[in-house]
Amino acid sequence: MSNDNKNISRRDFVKGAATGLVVGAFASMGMYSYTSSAYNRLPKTERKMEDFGACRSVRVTNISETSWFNNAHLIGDIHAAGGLLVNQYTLNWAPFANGKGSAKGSYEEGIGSIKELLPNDLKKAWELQKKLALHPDNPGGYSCLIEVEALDGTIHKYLLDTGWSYEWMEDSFKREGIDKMLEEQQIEALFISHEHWDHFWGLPVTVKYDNRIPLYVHDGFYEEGLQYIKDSGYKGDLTIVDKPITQIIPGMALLKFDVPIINRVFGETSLAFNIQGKGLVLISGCCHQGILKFADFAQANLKYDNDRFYGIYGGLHISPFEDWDPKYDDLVISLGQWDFERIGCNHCTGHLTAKKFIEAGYPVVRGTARFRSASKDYLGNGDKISFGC
Amino acid sequence: MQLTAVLPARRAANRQVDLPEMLTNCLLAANHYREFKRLVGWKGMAVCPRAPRAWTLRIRSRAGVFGLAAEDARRDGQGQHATLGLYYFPAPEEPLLETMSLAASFASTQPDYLETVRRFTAMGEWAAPFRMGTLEVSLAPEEDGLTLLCRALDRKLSIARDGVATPDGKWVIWPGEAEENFPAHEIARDFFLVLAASVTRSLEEPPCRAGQSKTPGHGLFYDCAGNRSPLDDGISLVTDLLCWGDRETLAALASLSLARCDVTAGMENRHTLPAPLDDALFWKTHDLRELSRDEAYAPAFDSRPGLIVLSGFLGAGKTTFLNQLLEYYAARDELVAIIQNEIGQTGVDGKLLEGDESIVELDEGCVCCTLVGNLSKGIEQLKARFNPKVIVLESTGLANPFNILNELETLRPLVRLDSITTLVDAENAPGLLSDHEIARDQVAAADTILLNKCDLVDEAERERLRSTLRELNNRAVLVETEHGAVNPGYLYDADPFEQRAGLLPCMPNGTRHTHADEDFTTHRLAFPSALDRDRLMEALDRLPDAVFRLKGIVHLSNEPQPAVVQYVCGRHELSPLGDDFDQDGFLVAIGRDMDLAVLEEMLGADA
Repeated sequence: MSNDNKNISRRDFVKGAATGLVVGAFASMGMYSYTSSAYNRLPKTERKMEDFGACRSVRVTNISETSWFNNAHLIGDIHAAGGLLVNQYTLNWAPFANGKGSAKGSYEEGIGSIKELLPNDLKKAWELQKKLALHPDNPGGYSCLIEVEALDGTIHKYLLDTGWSYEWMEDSFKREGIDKMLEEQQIEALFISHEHWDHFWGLPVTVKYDNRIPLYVHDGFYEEGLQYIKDSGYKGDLTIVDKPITQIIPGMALLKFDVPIINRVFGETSLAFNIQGKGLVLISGCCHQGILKFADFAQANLKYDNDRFYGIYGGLHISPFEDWDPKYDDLVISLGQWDFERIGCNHCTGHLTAKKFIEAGYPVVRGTARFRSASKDYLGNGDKISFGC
Repeated sequence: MQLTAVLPARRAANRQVDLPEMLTNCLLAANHYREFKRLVGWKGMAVCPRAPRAWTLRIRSRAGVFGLAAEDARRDGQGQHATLGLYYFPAPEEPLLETMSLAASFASTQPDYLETVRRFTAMGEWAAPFRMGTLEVSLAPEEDGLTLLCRALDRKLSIARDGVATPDGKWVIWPGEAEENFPAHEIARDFFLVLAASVTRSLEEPPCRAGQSKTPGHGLFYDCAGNRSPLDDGISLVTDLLCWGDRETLAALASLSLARCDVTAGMENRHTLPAPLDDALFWKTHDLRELSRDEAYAPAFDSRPGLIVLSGFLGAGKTTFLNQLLEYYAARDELVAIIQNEIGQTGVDGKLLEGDESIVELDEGCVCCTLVGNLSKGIEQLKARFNPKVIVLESTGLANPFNILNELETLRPLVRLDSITTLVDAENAPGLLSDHEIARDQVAAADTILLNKCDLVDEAERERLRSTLRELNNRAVLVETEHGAVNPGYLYDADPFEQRAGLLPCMPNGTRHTHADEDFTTHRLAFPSALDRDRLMEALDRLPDAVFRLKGIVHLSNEPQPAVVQYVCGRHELSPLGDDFDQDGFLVAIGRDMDLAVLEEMLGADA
């Protein structure tokens, strides 16, 4: 090869190569970076395919998705207290208010005012706390009933989360008959998805009806949260979840995600179900780990029918991280890649995002906008979604 | 050492810790602080989907994307250890690609390059040319000591002895020229410093020790047959090492690494370290309050809410865009407050916004005719009540944003100007821009132009419109959308350390044309009774050209939902309000010398 031939710039070459040449030809040109010996190989990862069995169907009843009623009041309180990093127990919200104002709340002082009333005199406890709290009419709460049909036809019932306001959750439980199910020990366990106020602080309402219900919480719960379980009058079997996957019954597993969350909360647990003949269903309280990580973890670790995702329900945050190249339809695009057949979201997915799913033609199950839920574009209070029925 | 921000508070003693996840949790927890995000220039992070565990992320100091891949993990008597691969994927036009391998250059020209980057660990060999170095993290058995090190060549060099030629005989790389020759350590260090600062922030303590070592490294000399041999050319393998926690524990954990360091220092003598290790943020981010007192970091601690001035002629799609802004920030637990001053006695958009009480309507109808005192007062009200992160000033389509610019100096103690955003309706813009000086000023004043409703015009018309807009303003970011569909994260909360193009200087005479100079008037009609849909549509079809804009809420007979009426330049639309509305129906018309007889005759006419 003569050394006096014309040169071609690297940029022009690779741009031209994009249209005219195939990668295989590159090696014959002597490019080191295209020889198989050039670099050490990247590590390969095998899917673990943990077999957690199968069930026949799952039905979710939205007991309450109205975590609070005024977003401006909630966010205003948080920022007045110092922002998203403030310990939630100091925000001076019921039931841990002490009447001293923003950022001066305290678990000890709040619980001290009502401890003797828990769990049997919740009406009085809540009235007492409302007098001390900021924005006393804002609390609502998140909770849903999950009914799993086993392969033998047995129905297993579970609670995911237990809301916030004693008043609101008491009414919501009665509306859906949860109070009676608890009294009759029909509900086999309560899963608290994470320590946030709107998922956990209503615990005394559940304990009032069944103080021995098996309880599962993430091992990221702080001292205040664990103490509150005791102070609520709970007498049952507490499981502090410390394994990535915990099988509950065949076809139902609890997945654990270690992730820092705002207002000094750590970690979330979410549920996965393998529907026989259909595939995987994912259910979350908030999904603070992000739907991307939830789906990815499930795919990497679980065995499920048809090796496909079938349904998803809950708060569908895309990721705890802000994306480095944000798209208008990030969540819609991402969910589309997983090809779910049935999608149920609630208000913390965001109203416009729920609309985007519907406009994109996704199989979103819509709600009825009852009991103070704001829109039919997502599943609201009292609405149901089924997978596999 | 306090690990509860990044590991479960109640974890079992001696439990296997997922160290790569702990590090990404450090990044996540640290970036909950807006100030930290600004200090380090954090741009975002993503999980690699359906791929071996990895993350991609961007930071201010580099135009491209870093990749972080979990590799191996192990335990021994010294504690738990994990190795991560660090990659850097240059932006497609980044000059660095000229110094990287041909495989890297080729990869970056592919249309799906960035999508491939997002899942780089699923791509096998594809990612290898982009590897910069290795990170190692170790945690002491009692979890009282943590070390983090970054190891990379100061130059990654490979030389093509025989050159690389195209089949038709042109040299791409001359014989003896380098195929790769780039400063891998310098690139890797940019990310390492951000990661280290996040560890310090999350542990709430600075490292007790930092060190650097250099050992001989080598490049590669290869021929076209694939034979290769090491090339000694002054290349070093550089290792930067940081230790947090208990010194005695770390003495054991890091003894081998520290022994090899050419230089080590603690907080007390860190000035003896080579730059930039001597003064890096990882020594400081444990105490953001202390940092806020340092003038050099002041922009990161600016707590004034960002002000977005939202401008654009009527009908350009501001309401839709506003709803997206509200939801974008609400999903991030941040509050947007809106100052709305639509002409007319009822702010119709207030019914379409879902922001609770975060809407303040100025008492005056039009901000451009309002004394600045009212605007300041509105902003003070909002800040006192809601502590918003962003304030959106929705200026009416007839307002001239240059007049707002004139007043911004007065507002400076209250807000930081983030953007003047002008929405332009692609279909109606040519007529509006040629007929109305206000419309031209709105484009000229913008930092961001959203060319909306692009689905209503063809490509040739869009091209002509882009040229027109560029003639009026060649410095604004121009984004084309349909239905105002753009992610606000793409547009706003600019990095305060990045140089931004300055706004055009204001005209010395200070005052620009307003709607009053063009004889626009407004007229409101109330409709106590429900209207017939067909009759209303027919009336809208018959409105004279003098009516420029019409909007309102009306009750329709035989329909349970009230309807929102939107009319602009001959186009009209009725859509369900989707909410309760207990008041009389109304329409607000804006135009010049309007004859509204076709609407007035519907008054008193029951369906």
